[in-house]
Amino acid sequence: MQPSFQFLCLYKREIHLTSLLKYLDTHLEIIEGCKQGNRQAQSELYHLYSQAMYNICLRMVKNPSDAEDLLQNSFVDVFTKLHSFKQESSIGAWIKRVVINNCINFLKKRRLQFEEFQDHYTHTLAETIEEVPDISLNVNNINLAVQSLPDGYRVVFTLYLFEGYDHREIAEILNISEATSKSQYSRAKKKIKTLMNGT
Amino acid sequence: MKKDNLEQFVQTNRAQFDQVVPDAAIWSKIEQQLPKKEIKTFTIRRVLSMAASVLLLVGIGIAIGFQIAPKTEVALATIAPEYAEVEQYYINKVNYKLAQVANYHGDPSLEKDLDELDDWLLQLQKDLQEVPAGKKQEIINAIINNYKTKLRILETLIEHSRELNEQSEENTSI
Repeated sequence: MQPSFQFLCLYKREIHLTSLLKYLDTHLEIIEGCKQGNRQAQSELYHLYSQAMYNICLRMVKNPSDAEDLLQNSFVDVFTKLHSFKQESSIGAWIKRVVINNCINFLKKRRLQFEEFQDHYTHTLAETIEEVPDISLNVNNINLAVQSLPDGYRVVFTLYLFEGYDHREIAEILNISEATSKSQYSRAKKKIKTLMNGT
Repeated sequence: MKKDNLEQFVQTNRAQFDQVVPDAAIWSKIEQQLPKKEIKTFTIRRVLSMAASVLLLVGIGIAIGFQIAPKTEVALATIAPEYAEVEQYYINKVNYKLAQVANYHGDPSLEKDLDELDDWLLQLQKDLQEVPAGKKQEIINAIINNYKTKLRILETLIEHSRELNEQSEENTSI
């Protein structure tokens, strides 16, 4: 007897859920469509996030051709794994994690200078007081400076400043200590400032 | 830690760092690797049988509804004491934000949504009592989502009222 009354309430609640979830920015309908393999929904989800994710790939791996491959493979992963997405984070944050993990695995396979993470100096550097001259502060200069960093520095720097992860999260993503993340970030920042100051 | 001018610049101009557009051809490459068949859950037959079940249950539900005495609001805490702290946190936060918008009667649709949420919360709390132990976790998650949504709406209201205050300040200053 109880279950049928429950069903009625659950059904009514579904209507509440879809109308009120607009506040939680969940793209609920699109995600449901994607889970069912609806091409239209999948295209929508891709186009919502493709540009942002592509720029993340570019920052992480530099080469546009590699970045394109990573973008492509990451979204195939996204759609194949979507059934395991349970709204514990926003869909955007979830997609971002998939993309970033793929970029990192790609860099690790190339084994380029990830050795930086063997960090013997885990005390944080004294913050350099110097600031970049305002005249040098533009998107182009910053991008160039970031691109010229070795992989290890570049990854930590972009994850912190561009992708908004904190050091605890970066430590988890890269499997390093939080202290290492902080010191890598410090050093990366120092190097960038040096580059942009032209010294 | 205080942000230096580099960090501040990046954060202020964050959108400018995402300007590169990926090649349009990439989507077709992705598409080709996805399964072709779509899982159709809504055939006419299924819709009709669902409609029939719903009508039947609505009838039964109404009949039963008349027999169930209304229950008073039951705190989440009495059913699942480990959530007492979580519930208290949300209640405090919601009340704080309610106080902040107490003087602001702006968007009637937002307020209507808040009322709907309150109804929904009462229903969830009722369900929590009735539901078997295995399902309780689902209900608890739904209650927490309810609080979160409420907070979101209140934050939107606060933001609106703040914007209006700023505007009116601008208008009154010289």
